[in-house]
Amino acid sequence: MSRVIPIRRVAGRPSEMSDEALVAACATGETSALGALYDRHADGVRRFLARMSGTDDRDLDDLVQATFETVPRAARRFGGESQVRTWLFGVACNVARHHVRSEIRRKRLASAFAEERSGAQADTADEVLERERAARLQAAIAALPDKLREAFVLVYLEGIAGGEVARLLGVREGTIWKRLFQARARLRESLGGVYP
Amino acid sequence: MNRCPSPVELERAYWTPAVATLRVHAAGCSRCSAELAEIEALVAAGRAIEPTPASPERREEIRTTILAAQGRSARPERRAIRWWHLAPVAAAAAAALLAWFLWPRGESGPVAAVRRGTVMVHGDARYMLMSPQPDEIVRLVDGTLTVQVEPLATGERFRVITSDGEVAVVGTAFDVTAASDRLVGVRVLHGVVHVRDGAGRIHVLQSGAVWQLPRESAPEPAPPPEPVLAPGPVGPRPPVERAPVRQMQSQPPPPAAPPARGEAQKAFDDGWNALRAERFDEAASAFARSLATGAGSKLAEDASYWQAVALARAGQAARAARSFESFLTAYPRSTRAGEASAALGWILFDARDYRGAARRFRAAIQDPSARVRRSASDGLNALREAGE
Repeated sequence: MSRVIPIRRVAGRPSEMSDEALVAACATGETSALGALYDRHADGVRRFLARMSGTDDRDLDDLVQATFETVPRAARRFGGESQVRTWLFGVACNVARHHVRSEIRRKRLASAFAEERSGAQADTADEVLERERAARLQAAIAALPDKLREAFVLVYLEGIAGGEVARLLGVREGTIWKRLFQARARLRESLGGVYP
Repeated sequence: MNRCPSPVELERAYWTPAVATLRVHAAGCSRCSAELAEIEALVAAGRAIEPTPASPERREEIRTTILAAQGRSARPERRAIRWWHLAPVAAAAAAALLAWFLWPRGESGPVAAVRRGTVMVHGDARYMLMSPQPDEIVRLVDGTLTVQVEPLATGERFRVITSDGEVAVVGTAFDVTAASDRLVGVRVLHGVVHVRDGAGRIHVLQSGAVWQLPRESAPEPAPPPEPVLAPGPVGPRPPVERAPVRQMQSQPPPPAAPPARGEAQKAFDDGWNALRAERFDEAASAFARSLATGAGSKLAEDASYWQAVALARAGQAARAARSFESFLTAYPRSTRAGEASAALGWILFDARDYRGAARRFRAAIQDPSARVRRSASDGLNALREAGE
């Protein structure tokens, strides 16, 4: 697989450029290309990070920012072997891996729980229970080991093909299926039985 | 497909065109049918996880920050390299090589650029991330940082240093404050922290303990750390949205954790686990135990708050109201005071104590959290609709 080596500025307005061209332009330091990439993918990356890190909105903004700040450096190594969206998720994965877990997450979940509670007094019991259930699933996903969580979120939740995820994570495709099975078994265990 | 696929085969089949064959098989196989149903339920529930969308203003703010950072780090255009350009480089390389040979060193081997600490900046604190592991150093000049450190591997260190002091930790979270490049305060949120002060004395601080530079030797001004429950990840990036640094109480710091703290922590953890499992009565009892055994510690504030929440969730409105009242009386400046006020407001509203509810909602209406403000605002609207 060849590597994109940008040696001159990519022509065209950022809004008209393909994702791949924007990444190549980012690698040359084109600020407007980075802005266009952010405009196109910030929401998707944010959602992905929420699913990956199980963190709250305050941390999410930091993680999105860190991801896109990393893009220009990472863009120099972009080889076009995956879609740009998938590649961005790979960059976000690395950022999320460095996100401190344990106590911060526990405290943040505690805080979110409290805020949710205080804001949910007027909700119906069903809504509250449904939200609690979703929160438990999110916490269980967040508690998965990195490798299992990455495979699970990328395939189950983002719908990316197993082969592409395998290339992104640098493993064999069979490993991805195995990790998915293990992730599901772990989730079943932590959620106390077969889901739902 | 006659035989049941192995679990790994089933995963592969589900996510490839072979799913059609799998579905035919599952129609006559209860085990595979249950597996398929579980996968579909997880996919549906997981894809429903959506964060609150960032507001357009916030989105734009992040965009601006990212582009500003990119603008600063953008490289200039490459120029042709002449042989004389290489002369200083070659000289520097030779010097570096010589230094490498002459420099005394202990263990050999590559050093991974790993960081175990996460730094949350308060206000406009001045600091620098100096070196990664195995001897990770944060240089603090002025202001307060909240630092969260992951458990360290053998041979790793994490230190916050000022010109006159040093804070060394192993798997902990703490606030550290410096003024004019001097260490003036440390508050341990959890874990153990070793503080070396300007005189070279070592102070070992347990969770909840505070060390402060004696007033007579403190530089002006010397804002000590405020208690912060939830440190956030910032790293070397500029802070995006941070809680404002408030003046610390002029009261002396709380005493070091009492000997029973381990018991209090255990009870607190039990309470938390019970709360997450929706065993609210059990949670309330555990938090009460934690409160009783850990009085005076930072943990007591948390335990008091969560006891009230657990009671409210258990449907024990009267006890929850008393518990929230106690919390607000004991910790009026808590970061959770707004949340507690709003929650208490709703309990009082349900009990038709409209005057009390209004007072509590008004107390929460200026809370830093938008959700708490919204809850309080909803409460005041509900009171208006109720004719109060």
